[in-house]
Amino acid sequence: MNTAFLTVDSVTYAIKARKVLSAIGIHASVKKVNATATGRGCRYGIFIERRHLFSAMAELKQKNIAFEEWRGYGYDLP
Amino acid sequence: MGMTYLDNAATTFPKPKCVYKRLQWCLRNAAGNPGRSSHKAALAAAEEIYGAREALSELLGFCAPERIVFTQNATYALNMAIRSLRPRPIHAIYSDREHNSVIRPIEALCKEGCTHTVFKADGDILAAMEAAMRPETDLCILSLCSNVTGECFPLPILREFRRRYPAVRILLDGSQWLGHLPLSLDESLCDVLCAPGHKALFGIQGVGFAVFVKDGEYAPFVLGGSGSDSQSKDMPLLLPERLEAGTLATPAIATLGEGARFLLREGMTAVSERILHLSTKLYERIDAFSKLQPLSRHGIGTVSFAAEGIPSSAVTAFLDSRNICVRGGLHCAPLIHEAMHTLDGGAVRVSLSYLNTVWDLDRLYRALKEFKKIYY
Repeated sequence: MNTAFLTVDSVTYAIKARKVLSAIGIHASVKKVNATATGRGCRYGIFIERRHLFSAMAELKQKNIAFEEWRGYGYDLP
Repeated sequence: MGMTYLDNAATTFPKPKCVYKRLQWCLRNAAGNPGRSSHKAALAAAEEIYGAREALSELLGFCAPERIVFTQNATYALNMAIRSLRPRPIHAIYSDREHNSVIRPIEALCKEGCTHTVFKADGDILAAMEAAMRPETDLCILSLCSNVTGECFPLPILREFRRRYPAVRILLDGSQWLGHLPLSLDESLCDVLCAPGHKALFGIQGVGFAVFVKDGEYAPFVLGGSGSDSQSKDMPLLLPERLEAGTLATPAIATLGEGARFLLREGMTAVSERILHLSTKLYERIDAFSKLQPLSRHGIGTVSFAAEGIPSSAVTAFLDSRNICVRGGLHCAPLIHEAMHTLDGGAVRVSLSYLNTVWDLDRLYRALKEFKKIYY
């Protein structure tokens, strides 16, 4: 349960986010997340270790990547 | 004797070896549907596509890969760009160098209330553009390089036009420029740049793209699955998915990305120098025949000529019989042929690739010598 995930609108932004985070040393995995989790239809989740959550959010904000934060829901890092 | 291919303005052949390798790799390893699932094969395809966006961005000196929208080809990209602009164009101007992929969609738009004016892209071009302008003009479409004469549109004039008329949206057709000449894409140049993947960028057929330089509101051209926001009845709001309905052609896009990486490795300065060198050598060979009249003296990568008294189809058929591929006819660009008085017989277009050699041009020269003996 040490995993956090952020959602972004599309796979394009998910991969962009993954690369942005990787560039600052944060390992992130991309997974599609379904409507049950997001309530908005399919989106993409960026899964990271919870300890990196705040620095990841700050980096994505700085790179103008819009995201939403979600709690773990039992997901583990893939 | 093997084939000499000089029809690269239509489709480049051959491709660099790395492009064939990437295609094979992609078909075997990135075989899923990009943006539709999160299993390994789908994510590999999505990564491949994003990698192509990044490579193109780097080639264009453009910092927003997510504003590159993939299409089937440049024609689709131009149609999409014209139809996606909001507000819809009221009066458009375009040059007499344009391809039917601009002329026809604008004609169709005119049936829905838009109007247009064509200006001549020679002599004092800026004055011609200004003369075509009306108070309501809100769109200008330009081919950066003619697919018939190979003449390039002067970028300083384009930037000056942009400075004088900031409210006019500029849509560029980079089909014959990209991959031959360097381009640094920014807002001082245009709003949208469209191009195919299968020409000098060395992708295979089946991919083109439009780069939306500015953030803005764009209307979807085709609607359908996007892999996200599925509960919404509209397309997603963000580019590129807003304009990329349906499954993308991952293998073709992968080859385009690899083609762009190849050009980055070679360096666009070296590429453009080679194209200029080959163009000069091509002119020298055509100039050896007094009955062959080049349509322009300033072509880069593309040189078309008319053979006195002989239709272009006869010349291309003869060259084909000697295993040399060139293109005759009107090249889907009737306005420039009208301007050059070659509407009747068309012109013979010889178009180069970075991978051509002077040896290819020598073969063309020898075949033309033979042609001269038979026909003149």
